[in-house]
Amino acid sequence: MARPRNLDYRGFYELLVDHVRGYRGDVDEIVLLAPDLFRFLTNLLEDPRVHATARQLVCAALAYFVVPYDVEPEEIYGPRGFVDDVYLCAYVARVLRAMLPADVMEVAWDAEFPLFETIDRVYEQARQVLGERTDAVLRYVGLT
Amino acid sequence: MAAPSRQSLLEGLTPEQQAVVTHERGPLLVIAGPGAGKTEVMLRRAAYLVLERRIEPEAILLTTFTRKATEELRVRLASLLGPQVERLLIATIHGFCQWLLEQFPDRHPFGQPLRILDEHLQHLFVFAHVEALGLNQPRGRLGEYIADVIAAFNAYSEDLVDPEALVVHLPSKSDDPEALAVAAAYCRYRRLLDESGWLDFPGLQREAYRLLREDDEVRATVQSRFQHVIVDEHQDTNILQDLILGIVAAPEMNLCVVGDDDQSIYRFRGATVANFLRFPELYPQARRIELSHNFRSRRPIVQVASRLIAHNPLRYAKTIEAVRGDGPEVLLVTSDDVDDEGERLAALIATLRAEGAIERWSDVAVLYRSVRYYAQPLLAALAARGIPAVATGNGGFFDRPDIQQLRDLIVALGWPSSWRPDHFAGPVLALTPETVDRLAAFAGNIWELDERGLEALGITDERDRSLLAGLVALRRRVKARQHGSILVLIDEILARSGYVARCIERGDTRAVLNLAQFSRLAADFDRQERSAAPFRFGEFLRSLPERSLDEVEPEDEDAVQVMTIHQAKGREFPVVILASLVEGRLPGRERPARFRIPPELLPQVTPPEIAARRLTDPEEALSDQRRLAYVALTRARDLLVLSAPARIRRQRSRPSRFLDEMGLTAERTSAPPVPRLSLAGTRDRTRRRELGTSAIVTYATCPLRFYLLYEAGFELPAWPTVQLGNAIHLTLAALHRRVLAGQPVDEEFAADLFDRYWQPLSRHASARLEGLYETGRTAVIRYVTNWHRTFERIVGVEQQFCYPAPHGLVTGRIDLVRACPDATLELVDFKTRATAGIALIRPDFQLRLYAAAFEQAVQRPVGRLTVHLLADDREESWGWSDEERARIQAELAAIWDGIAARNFPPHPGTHCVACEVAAFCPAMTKGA
Repeated sequence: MARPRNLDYRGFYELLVDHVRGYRGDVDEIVLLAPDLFRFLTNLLEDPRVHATARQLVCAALAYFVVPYDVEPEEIYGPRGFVDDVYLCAYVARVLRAMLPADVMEVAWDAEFPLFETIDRVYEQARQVLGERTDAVLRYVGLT
Repeated sequence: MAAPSRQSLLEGLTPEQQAVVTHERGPLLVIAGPGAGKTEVMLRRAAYLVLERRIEPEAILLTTFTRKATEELRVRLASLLGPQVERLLIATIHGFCQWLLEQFPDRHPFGQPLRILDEHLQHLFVFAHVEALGLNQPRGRLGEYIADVIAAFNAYSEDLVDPEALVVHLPSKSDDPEALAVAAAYCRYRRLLDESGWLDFPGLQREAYRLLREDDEVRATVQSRFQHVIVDEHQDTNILQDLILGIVAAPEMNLCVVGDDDQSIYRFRGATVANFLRFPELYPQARRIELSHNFRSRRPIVQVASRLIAHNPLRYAKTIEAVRGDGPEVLLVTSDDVDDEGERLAALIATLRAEGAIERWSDVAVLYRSVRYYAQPLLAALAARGIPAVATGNGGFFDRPDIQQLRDLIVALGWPSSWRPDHFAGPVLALTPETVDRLAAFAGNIWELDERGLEALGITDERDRSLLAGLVALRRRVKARQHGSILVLIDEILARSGYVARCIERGDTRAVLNLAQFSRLAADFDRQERSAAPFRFGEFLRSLPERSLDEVEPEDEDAVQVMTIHQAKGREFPVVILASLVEGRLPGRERPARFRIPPELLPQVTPPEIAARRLTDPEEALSDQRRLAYVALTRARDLLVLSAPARIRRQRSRPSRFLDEMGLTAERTSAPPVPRLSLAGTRDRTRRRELGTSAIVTYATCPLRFYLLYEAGFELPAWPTVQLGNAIHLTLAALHRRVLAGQPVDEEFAADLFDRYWQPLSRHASARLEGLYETGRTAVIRYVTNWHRTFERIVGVEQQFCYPAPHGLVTGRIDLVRACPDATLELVDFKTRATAGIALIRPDFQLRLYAAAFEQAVQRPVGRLTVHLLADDREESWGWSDEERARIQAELAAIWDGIAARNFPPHPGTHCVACEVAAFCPAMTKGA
């Protein structure tokens, strides 16, 4: 999980880890996956085998992490507000599965649990929590 | 010292162990389970060969896995063999390869002395040549990228991959542009190394192998010397190493390999258990002996571990017997999530102590597959309970505020715009809060202020003002490129701020050890990067792989030991807790190695002898992790605790399949009962060690100086006078060797030699260096003119010796041995220092130490001890009597005791004037 900071630099990943650390609640399984998914996407951008179309999808999901007023803003909901971010990441990961070789995806996945199984599970869970708002999430980044 | 008899060499050994010791000839495979006493058996075998079989010690080669292990072997063997131990070659396989290349400097292009890239220097080399290697546009973190690239280079090198063939063939099998770039970079890397004369570790082995294969004379010489080869930790050798050892032992095949296939855990570094498993196939005549008694662990631990490892498909089946008998059952601790695991374990450890099951925190080791990623919840929980813990493998070196401030200061000295006023508020400078506030409020450029300017700023504290003014002056030197090296900057900052002295005074040994580690990093940088540019140094630090450097921990702290399984290898603890036994962590996912050569390409790019040795285990990665778990379990002496969390960061996970394989189920349990343990005889003994005579003499003059230089290991800027000393020393050694070889020497020859060895570190010519050069040259010429009459009495030059002492081994080298008319020997030591410097090295003590050791080693009486003072062109001599022998032995024993008791007080005296660490000394800085 945590790839802690080097020297005194704190990146967005570390902030994310701090933000969700210790969170417990009915959606904790979804929320606590946010840092792993964020890392997964940034790792993909470091791989030259990831082509332009895939990169655009990755960037859309990454941007969604950063924008302050997304569909369920963290500013209002706290760590729970990451459910829509995680949903979008899982959505993008599932699209990428059809576009990229499996080993490219596997190399980018740092977490201890299996990539595709986790993605599918969390995608379903987040979709159920969000209900119709999933459309709003996809619209926000131009994916529908 | 009386030599041990045959009987005493076999005493206390099981029949199997005795069989190993007395095995006559031919290949021998020793399969030694955990706690089987294999090191002792191996050492007794070596001693037996020398003492009983009358094998010359020079004919024995003993290899092991780490340099620390070689030291232990040497020290322990010395208690069986005495000074003869010096005559055996005990080395790591890299060390053996280095020795081989040094023996035959004319047979390879790398000359003498060899220039070897160790791990850090290799990283620096790649970092410094990133552009030349064509790797200048990596994505991601440079540090991780360089680490991946180096891992690939090392793997190619050890597999004898032909760089040109790789570049030609790889594109047909891979479309990964980065892999292709790395293949091309490998080609350039090899060329760059060859051009610059550097050898990396794999290169040492490659070159040694090439010589042994292709050069008949080298092979014949090496083979005729080594009649017996004993290999420890054979399961951790790589293919190339095994091929090398095979050639060395080839004629008589007296090759004894000792290992445990179940404990092979260095596959990620290229080691292969195939060497050990294939031994009977490669040497069909080999005898096989199993050491199956476990003298370490209680029966329940042995049973659980044996059940687990039985699931590995490729191994020697064995039945391990627990000699220590029954003990407490293995405990299983469950928790809801890895985040809660730490708290459960901390509570258990606290209970163990409260109930008296353990007496010290350090009786407990908590092992993880990765401390860096997994141990944080435990460390937090222990801290919350006030339980001391030492975490190795945490990569926390740069988290230390003092190291951060030191680093920021150095970078700022070269690049002031990187400086932020809050950087002033650190422990190294220890400025008063008022000063820090003033500096923070100042809008101008601090680096342009002088002492008066600082005063005008309202900095009233005199110490602060002078310290800051000193830093500003240092900045000016850096700007003018007059500072010399990064090490000089560190030394000056530490000296001016008095930080080291303050740490010593308050007993903060941890800080001192870490500052010393920082100095070693800088020294490495200075050796590789002649620019001495602080900005480059900062870049270098940022290029290190993330959290690759641990905080150095004091050895003697009583604290719970939190470490990785790899770090626990070869050690044992009364209580071992194996944590995070959950699928995903143990066994964990294995990331595919970057830039690995596709297996189907290997036959085209590696020689057949490498390809033929590969062993395929369809479940290689899993077997590897099972071995890792096995190593962890078998570290426990009395109590083994397994911790199985159910989830990882709330993600549902499966309990580790290893629990099932051990015959345990991870059902929820309440707090497990704490068993009573008997810990008698489980304490670590004081580590016996090897010390050079210069270290001993240093302790005799000032224990604190010994501590800073030899325990902490501070690197210090080379003093020009030390460089002069080195050049003179090398010149005289070469001169004396020529005399000993019966060849003529004269003043001109001496002067030429001195010119060859004079290598000032600084590139800037200065009047001072010029003066030193003249001094040195004059001294060696004068020596030949005035002392050539003594040359005919020379009987030994640079004679090495070693001397077994109660706590370890003293080693050293005597400059010159002369024969005296009364058939005794005269030991001569050359000194270049001026009077104050002489006080620091106590030549009388040093020579007496030499004499005590030397006469025992060569069995010839020493009659006279002489120090030759080159600066004064005169000699001083002392006699050597039984009384003095007794005195020096008593003094030596007291010194060892002091070191073992970790007693390192400063010892101020006249020698302090010439002491290079005086500025770090509380006794000195107080007086100043």
